[in-house]
Amino acid sequence: MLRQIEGSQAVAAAVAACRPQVICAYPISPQTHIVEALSATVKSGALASCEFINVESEFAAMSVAIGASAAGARAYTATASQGLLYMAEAVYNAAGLGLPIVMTIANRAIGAPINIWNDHSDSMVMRDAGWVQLYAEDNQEAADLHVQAFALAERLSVPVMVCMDGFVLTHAFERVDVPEQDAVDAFLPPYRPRQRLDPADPVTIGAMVGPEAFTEVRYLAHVNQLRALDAVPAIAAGFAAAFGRSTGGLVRPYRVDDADTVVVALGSVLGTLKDAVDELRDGGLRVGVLGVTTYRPFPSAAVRAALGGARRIVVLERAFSAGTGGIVTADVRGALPGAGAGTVTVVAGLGGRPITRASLRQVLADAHGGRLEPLTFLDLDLRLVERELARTPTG
Amino acid sequence: MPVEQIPHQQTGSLVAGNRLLAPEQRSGQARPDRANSLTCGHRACRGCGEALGARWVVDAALRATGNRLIAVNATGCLEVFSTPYPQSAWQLPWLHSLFGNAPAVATGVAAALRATGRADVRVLGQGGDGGTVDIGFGCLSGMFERNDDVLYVCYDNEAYMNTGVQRSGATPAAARTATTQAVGTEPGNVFGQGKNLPAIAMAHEIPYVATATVADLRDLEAKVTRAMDVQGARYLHVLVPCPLGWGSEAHDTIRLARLATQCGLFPVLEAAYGEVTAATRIRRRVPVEGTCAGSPGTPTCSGHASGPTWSPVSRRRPIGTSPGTACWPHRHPRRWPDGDPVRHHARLGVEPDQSDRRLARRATRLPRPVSALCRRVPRRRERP
Amino acid sequence: MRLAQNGDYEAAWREIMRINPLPAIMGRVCYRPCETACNRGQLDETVGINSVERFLGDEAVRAGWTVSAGPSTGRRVLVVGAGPAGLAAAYHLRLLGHDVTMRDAGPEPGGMMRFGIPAYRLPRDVLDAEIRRIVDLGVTLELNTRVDDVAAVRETDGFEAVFLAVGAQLSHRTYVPAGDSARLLDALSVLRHTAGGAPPLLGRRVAVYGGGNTAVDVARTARRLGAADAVIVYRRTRDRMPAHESEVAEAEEEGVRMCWLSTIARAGEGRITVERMRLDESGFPQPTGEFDELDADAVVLALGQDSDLGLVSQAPSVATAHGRIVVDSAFMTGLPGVFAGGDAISGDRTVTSAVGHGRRAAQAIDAWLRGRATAEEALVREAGYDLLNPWYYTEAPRQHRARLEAARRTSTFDEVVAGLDPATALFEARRCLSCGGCFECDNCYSVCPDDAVIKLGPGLRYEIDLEYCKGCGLCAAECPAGAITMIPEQRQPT
Repeated sequence: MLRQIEGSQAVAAAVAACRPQVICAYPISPQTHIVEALSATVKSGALASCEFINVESEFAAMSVAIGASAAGARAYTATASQGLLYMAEAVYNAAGLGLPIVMTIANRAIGAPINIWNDHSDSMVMRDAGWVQLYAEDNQEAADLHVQAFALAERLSVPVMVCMDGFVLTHAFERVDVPEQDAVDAFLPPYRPRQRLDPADPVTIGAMVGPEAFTEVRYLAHVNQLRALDAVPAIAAGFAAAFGRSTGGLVRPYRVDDADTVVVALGSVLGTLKDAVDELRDGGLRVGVLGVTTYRPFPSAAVRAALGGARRIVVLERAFSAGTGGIVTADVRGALPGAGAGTVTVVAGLGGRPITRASLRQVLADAHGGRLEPLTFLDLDLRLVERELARTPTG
Repeated sequence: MPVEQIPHQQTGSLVAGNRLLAPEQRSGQARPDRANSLTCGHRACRGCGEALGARWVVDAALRATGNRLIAVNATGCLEVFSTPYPQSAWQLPWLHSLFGNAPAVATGVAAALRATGRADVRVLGQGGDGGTVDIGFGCLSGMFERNDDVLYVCYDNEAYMNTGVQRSGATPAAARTATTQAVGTEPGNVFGQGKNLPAIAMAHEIPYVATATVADLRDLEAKVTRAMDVQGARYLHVLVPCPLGWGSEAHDTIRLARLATQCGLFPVLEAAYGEVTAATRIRRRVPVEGTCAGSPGTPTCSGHASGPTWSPVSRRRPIGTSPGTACWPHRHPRRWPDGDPVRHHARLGVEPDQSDRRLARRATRLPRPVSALCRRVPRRRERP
Repeated sequence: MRLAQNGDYEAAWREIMRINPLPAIMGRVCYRPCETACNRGQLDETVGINSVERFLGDEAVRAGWTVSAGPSTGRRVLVVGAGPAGLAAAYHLRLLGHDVTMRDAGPEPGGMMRFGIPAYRLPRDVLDAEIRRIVDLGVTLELNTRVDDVAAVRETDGFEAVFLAVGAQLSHRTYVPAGDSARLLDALSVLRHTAGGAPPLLGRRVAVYGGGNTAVDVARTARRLGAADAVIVYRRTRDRMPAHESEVAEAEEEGVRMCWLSTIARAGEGRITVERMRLDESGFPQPTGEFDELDADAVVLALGQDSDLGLVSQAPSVATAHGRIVVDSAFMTGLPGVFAGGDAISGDRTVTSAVGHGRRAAQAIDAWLRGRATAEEALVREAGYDLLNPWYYTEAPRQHRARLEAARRTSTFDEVVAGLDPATALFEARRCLSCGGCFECDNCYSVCPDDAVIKLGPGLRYEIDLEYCKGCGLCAAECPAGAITMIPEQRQPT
């Protein structure tokens, strides 16, 4: 049913439709509206057999989810930014234990300086944690990805992060076709854990593994994670068949077939990018966009296939590695023959800086013309930078 | 008293079994069909107090719940020596996640059990003193505050033994550890620090808090059994001497715990909703000095003869002294009989030293004693 | 004790009967050397082993429990003397299956137990019952039969072995200057006549000369016979008195007076003169030359006893020394096949040692008859107090036996010390620390951090699983009774 609804509310409704059994959360902007809505849903009794636990930290939130999942419950939590970092140890732990927890990341910058606005610095930190990472382009996809995430997590017994841009999506009111309960029930079977803590069949979970087997444990986790590259498209296809709309999947190419220049990006910026591409196409420039929905595991084959015809590739990053440059860029280059020579990085929209269509048009035009540096900071205020440099003693 | 002492009958209820008592009067550990939840073959050191305490605790909890129990373990010796992949010494469903999150993981398990209609299965969290009073403290406090249905057991051996005997928040004053070495005339751990976690747990006004030791295992068993009769957050603090860390003989593990109780260093008590309801009387009083040689709790203060009197509530905290019985514990700056250590030692004719002066300065700016928390009027909470 | 703790009194009694055939008697007259060694004395007060023994003995008499003789061997043994040593020997020899004939010169069996120990310490019905039980094992008892020449009797009556337990029936004589009218008696005859129902006339004031148990017995008997004043005259001090402390205390309770550091210098009519003594550096009494006078209608001499060894005077190979028969470690005299024990050989002349002699001599006789060496008794493994873990024993004050009130003690021969009732006997038995002996408290099973102690079940105790034992020693440290020993593992040769 189409509703004009805030992104957080849509996600909360979609999560609720997945009938989670344990929800635990610690508040952090901009995740708050999601868990507030879920809290109310649980309290109202609309969600039968669900425990909502208000915890004292994100570390505890993930820990509660670990316990709940190991004990056989469908577990969900949500966080952002500092919270994700605060729970980092447990995030890795959940993946190591192979627990199919689903977590929403309302993407937000990481301090210092403290900043509550959107970029991808937080979830990028966790890209090696062993979780599947899905990035939503809009609120429809954000809502749908949660349904698909539970299906994926439980099929592979891996935890899944659904990343949606903080404020830009979480607080935006859009028309969203919120997944209906009946349809979700038909799509997502009840959680049947591969193993669970059960007095009738005692198991030891979380044993100590020494050098003699640790490599093998890690290798098996890698192999399992790679299985998501098959499972994600299959689940997306199934979802499309059941719900009549195509969301999710590994990558979303847009006008790349004859493009000389393709911009690779994750998240909500894809909408603006598509508008800019359309305008540039109208001006005769053959540009396209490749949205990466599944960032972990990285769909190298799909990316290579989509970028095969492009001469120039721009990776638009919402985070970066200080002193090095783009993070996604490294993945894209790795997927391309010849290590992706000609791939440049544009860092944009850090800490909530608006990414305007005009700026994007400019940077795409420059890229198309081969005038772009390997690393560009979009709309960098050079006056501010120079003023600060002048105040900083050198040497 | 959780254990009704059965008098006479040779050894009464002081031993685990006693053939002169009816089987139901003997401890569960005396039963040939006990669970042995932490079974033989684990890799604990010789004379490990934690291994001993853990088997008693988990066996008792299993019996109390009819084997409907799940254990959640913090990182530490207990976890490491019991589960070397691909083996496990645990005979019950058991989960280890991290060092600092066992109480929260236990909360999650309990929540899952409720949500999946298995609320009859109960949850036991357990960890060492480091995982409990230090790194896991936040999660523990949260679990207490939410009153989650978890019995959390801290096996306190007074330092980080698994990593090689470093100081923890449970290390007593003057104790020698790898990170608080006794150098020159300075003792090991500084005085006046360390957490009184049973008192802090009581301050949460949870339904049940108790302390126990491996010296009185029937008491420990009874407290676990009682705790499993209670719904909500429960905390059990068990003193488990560590031969490796304390530098003690393996066969002295129980004796040292017994001395810790009999000299008053470790009060054995029970509390409900923040109020002490029972304390185990000292049966054969011994002086502090000379009783705990070698342990992290080895403090002695030359020049003083006999031990202090102890609060039954406040662990390691003397609450009063009789004249002339000052001793090392009084170096706790909150508790000086004459106001501060310089004045106190001056009255006793002992030359104040540098640390006295330092402590005297600190004594003037300390917040209220932790044990005062225990006397707060409990807020009314729905009691099951 | 273990069986008594379980409340299985008959089994406990049978355990005692393996060693001691007279528990009801021993529970009354034994001076309890075992209790001196009892470790519980270092904890609070020793266990009343003796009172438990008496309780079991009385229970046996009450319930009529009996034992049976061993399969007959057809070997004939003569026991001379039906006192405690003879009775004990006869009993054990019957258990071993030998034919036993017991001859005694007296009219009734029991020896000194009947004629030397007053009834207020050992009621006659108890004595009779325990003797009867031995005789009923098939002992041929010949009373009023004196054996004059052991070698001859052995030859003519066809005994393969003889056990001499003739006791010490002759009062030691000493010279006391006495006037014609002075009334001097010897202690044994006083006791014997009293036991025989014809007590001698002692008068109102009686002086007893000597410091042994017999002296105390006589003084207490005198009080019961109506003496208003009974005084014991002894040349040393109380702490040097050979009489047992408890007897002296009971005597004092009954009003017996003590006159320490005194000798009787002269006895006259109704009056004696005593000389004060002092102890020299070696503790020997020396006269001081100072004299006191005491009123005394009679003087009873209780200065020790001698054996009548006439029966061996015809056998030169049987050596004697200081009026006692000399025996080897197997109680055999110089004449092969002739054994001796009890007061007739050197020893401390108590019923306890006599019964012990009887048992060990019976074993020696059995071994001699069967032509093999006496089996060395396996030493019971005991644990000293330092091996115990006294923490585990409950506070349990000793249960003392009730005593007859003093007023009745001076007028009757009723038994002074009462027995324990079943509840207190059980309590007392359960005060036993079982030093060195496992009593299945399950501590080792429960304190093992490695589950390496296997519980085998009631009565079967435990086994250590050495596959899993790490040798921490907690089981041994926390064993209340010190019943577990740690043995260093031998390094395996590689």
